[in-house]
Amino acid sequence: MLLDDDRNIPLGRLSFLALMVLAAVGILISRLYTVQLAQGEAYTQKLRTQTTVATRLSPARGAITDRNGIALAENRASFDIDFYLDELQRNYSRVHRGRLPMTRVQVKRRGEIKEVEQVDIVKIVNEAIEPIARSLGFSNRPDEREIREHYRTQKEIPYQFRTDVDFNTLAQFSERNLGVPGIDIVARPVRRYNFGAFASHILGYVGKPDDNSEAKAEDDYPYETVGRQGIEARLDSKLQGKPGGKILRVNYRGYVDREEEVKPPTVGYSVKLTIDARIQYIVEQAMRGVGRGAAVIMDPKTGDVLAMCSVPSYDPNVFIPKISGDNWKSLIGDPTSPLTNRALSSYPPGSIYKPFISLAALKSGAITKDTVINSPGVVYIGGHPFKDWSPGGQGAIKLLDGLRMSCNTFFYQAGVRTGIKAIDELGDIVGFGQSTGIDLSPESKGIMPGPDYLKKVSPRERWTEAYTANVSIGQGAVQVTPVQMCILMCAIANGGHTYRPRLIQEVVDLDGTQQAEYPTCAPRNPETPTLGVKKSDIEAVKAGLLAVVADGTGRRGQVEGVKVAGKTGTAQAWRRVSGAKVQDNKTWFYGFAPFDDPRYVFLVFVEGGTSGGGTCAPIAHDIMNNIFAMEKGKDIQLTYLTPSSGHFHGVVEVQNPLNAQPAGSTPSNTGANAPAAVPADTTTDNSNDNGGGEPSIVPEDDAPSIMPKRRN
Amino acid sequence: MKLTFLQKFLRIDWILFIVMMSLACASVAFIYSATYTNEVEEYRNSFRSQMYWIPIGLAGFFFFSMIDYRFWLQWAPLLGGIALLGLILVHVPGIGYLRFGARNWIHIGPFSIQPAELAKMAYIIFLTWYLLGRGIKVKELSTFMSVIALMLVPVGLILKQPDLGSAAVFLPTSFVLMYVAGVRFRYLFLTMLLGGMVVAFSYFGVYKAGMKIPGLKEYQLARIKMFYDPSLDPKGRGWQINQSLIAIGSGGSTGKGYLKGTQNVLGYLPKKTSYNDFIFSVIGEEWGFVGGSCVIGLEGLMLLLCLRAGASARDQAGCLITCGVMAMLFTHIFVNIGMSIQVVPITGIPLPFISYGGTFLVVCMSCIGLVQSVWIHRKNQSL
Repeated sequence: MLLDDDRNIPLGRLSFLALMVLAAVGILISRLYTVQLAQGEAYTQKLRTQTTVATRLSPARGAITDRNGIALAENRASFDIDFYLDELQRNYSRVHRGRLPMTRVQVKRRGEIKEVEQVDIVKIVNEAIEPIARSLGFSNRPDEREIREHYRTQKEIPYQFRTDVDFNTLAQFSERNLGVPGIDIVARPVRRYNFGAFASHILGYVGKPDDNSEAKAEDDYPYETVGRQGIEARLDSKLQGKPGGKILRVNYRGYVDREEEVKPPTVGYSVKLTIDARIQYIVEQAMRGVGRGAAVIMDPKTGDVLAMCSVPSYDPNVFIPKISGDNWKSLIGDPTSPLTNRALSSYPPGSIYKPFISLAALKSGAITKDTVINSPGVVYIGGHPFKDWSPGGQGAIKLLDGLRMSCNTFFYQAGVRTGIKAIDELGDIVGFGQSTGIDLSPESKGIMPGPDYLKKVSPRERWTEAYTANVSIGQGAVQVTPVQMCILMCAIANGGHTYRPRLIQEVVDLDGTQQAEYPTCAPRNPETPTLGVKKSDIEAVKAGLLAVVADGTGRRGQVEGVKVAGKTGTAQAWRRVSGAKVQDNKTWFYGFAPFDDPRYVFLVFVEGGTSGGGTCAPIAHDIMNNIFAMEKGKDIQLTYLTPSSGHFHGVVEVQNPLNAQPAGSTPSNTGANAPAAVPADTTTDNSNDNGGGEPSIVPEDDAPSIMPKRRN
Repeated sequence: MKLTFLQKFLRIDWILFIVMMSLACASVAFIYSATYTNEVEEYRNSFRSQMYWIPIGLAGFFFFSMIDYRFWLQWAPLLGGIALLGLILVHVPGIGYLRFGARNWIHIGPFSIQPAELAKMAYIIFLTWYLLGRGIKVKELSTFMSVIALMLVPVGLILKQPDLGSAAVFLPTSFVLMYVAGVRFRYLFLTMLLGGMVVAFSYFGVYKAGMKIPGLKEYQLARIKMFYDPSLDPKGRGWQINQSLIAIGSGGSTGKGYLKGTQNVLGYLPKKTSYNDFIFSVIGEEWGFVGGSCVIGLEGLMLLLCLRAGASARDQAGCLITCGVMAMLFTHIFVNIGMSIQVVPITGIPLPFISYGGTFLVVCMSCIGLVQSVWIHRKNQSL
């Protein structure tokens, strides 16, 4: 051994080793530099991606209230079981050491069907819920196609496995949620229509967006619900809240460690309608039995729509959170089409067109209120006979009696004297054949016939006076919507202003700050804000309308203690039932009250009624009676309404509640008075304030005897 | 001339001592940070047991410092025999214990020790003794061959545990010792060249060109490829290295702060290894580039101080012992830190003085004690 011999210390080799150490230290530090400083950002990003999960917090829709702030549509909490597909997948891969089940899926791309390998999300989901589903007895599995689609298009948004879970299931589920990350119970705001089938055609309903939805929220994902119909659809952008978000920090097993960032969702703006819920309720109740029809109440001073009802109606709550297939089928398949808003659909007006013809004739100077026109049972225009409804006619009468008795031969002649040009000029001002501009769709424009119209529909025919004569009594091609007629009646009542029907009072945010303005008394067409008819001429028409109710065709529309003006109308129409024509008259009654200071314009429209005076006037009476009683302090209790069902049973004729004689124009009392009498009082208040006269129900001539229900 | 105890004590290389102690003390803080959120109490308590092991390690340190290293050379065959016995006992059921799938513990009374760690130290002394015994024949091929054969005995036994990391340490230790002892450079160089070629083939042949090696299974080839590109399988086999890189990389220049390592707290760094084999990932994440460089720097400084002791050794024996210790520690440091930052493949091997592990800490401190002994008994004995 060579101990104690320092010549054996190999200093050179030691130096080499020292260099090696320095080199190794250099390698490590330079590599550390690369990882931490040069690529630090990239790794930080990777860290973020793997440790955080972003989830969406659903926004709540704003409320829809009536003019007094009574909420008609609100939100309630729905407890949903959600799958976070992304998280389920990550968890699966973690448990299965990075392996994911794959499946081949046929995907249509640019018209070609291709097979694409995809993660078998259905298998992952099924495996995750297996233990829970078994213990809870969930028999039906999630829809495979839906899950795949959801996974493909919006993985980051939770898939709603069950919505509106009842409390029992909820409790059991949370007890047995065997800690599977990616399955969660979420309380989500969903729509609730507080009074059921109440103003359903105004409110509309909400639903899930289509696959290729146009409406995307701020976070670039589609909203979970969008307005489908009515105000919900029209003001969807205002009612929608802004979605919030939550960034969750998850640990390596996918469990949420803590919330890192929360951005709360906001509530959408609330919409205040011009509707008065109490009046709407009165109208809804009054219209319940008619089968098919509509009623509108407006404020002639402002153009505010106070009530608008269409029957048959539906309960929008059946659409929440998702309408069942059966429900949808029965709504769509119902031949009385409950989803249609009849107040905005067009029908032949019949005699309720006559006040309009009167105005046009007076404005053009063709007649004055004192012009006497001989009105026999039949007049010949262009060689054709035009008959009055009464064989003997009314004789030599002025405008007042022409309106009062709804004399056809009077108006044929007045209309022909006025000429179609002047009639249509006034029609343009009122807005016939045009959209009313109400904040509701779809809206029918109706038809205002004239030479131009004729050229369009049948180019070979030429307009003749015979056509004008037909228009003069609201027959022929004329089509109007109830709301259009209300604009006319408002203009008559307020001295000539054609207001745009206003349905929305204001849109306010949560603090009550106004977010959108809807002015009152807005002209329908700013260029022609009034009818342009002299005051005295309008007064003449008003006097005629007063006479209609006082002792004319609309006597059953009288209201005790209130002067009511109005006009009846019965347009003969037919409907095809398996090839055969069945009479299906469109009956109308509209007007205003009180006469001296009109506050209400009303319109009642019934399909399949016998006549305006016999069918609609009593309903209008009923409505106005209750409205005035309400004004005097009668309490109207709002209750949850079931849908009023549609039918084709036809006529609902009600005797004049004030015991006036039935109007001569109606083929009433052809049979004996129907034995059953149902109180016309439609409010919850059962006291009979109809002055003792109970309406009786008269069956139509050849229709089977029916007992239409006025109340449910 | 004999040194008194006090003289010996005063001659201790205090710089080396301070470097060693600062690393050892910092390790307690690092281990606490790596385990304080662990669900298992045993893990949470590991920083405490590390604290108890430090005084035991210090005892070993002083014990080996004060005793002249030449004493051990006389007993080298015996030490080698005892270490060998330990390695064999580990495989005897009832004495050796299984932990994390490896049979690497034996219990002696209240202590449980890892014979593989002890064997590393014994091997250094034994190999020094053997090389010195070769005399002038040390340069020859026969020395090289016999050392390789000798080395295979403990390596085989340790591989059987299995503990690839610990087994791998014996190779560089043997090479450095032979190099310093004077074995012809060409033998060592050719062997290393061969190794380099294997590495080059694995990179260019297997990873880049996708060639196959007869006898290796698909998953083994995948593991090689995965080393060069962990993103090939981020959720499965590449998990550890990926998470380690994310942890260290996201630490940035100054780190996220003590106890604030997201990767560690949320369990992305595997909880079973974050306090020993992957402790550097925790350090890198919480202390950033500054902290990581400090640890590398201190470990490097310690190695250089070992070499300094070797250079001033009184005799070749002292020089060999210090170089052996240096080589052993060097391998641990380079492989451990290197695997955390993707310089070398992942092998389970602790970081000296930092990683959790009692036996290894005591062995490392004792080894530094050996180096101190060489330093104390260096040529210039005049104070």
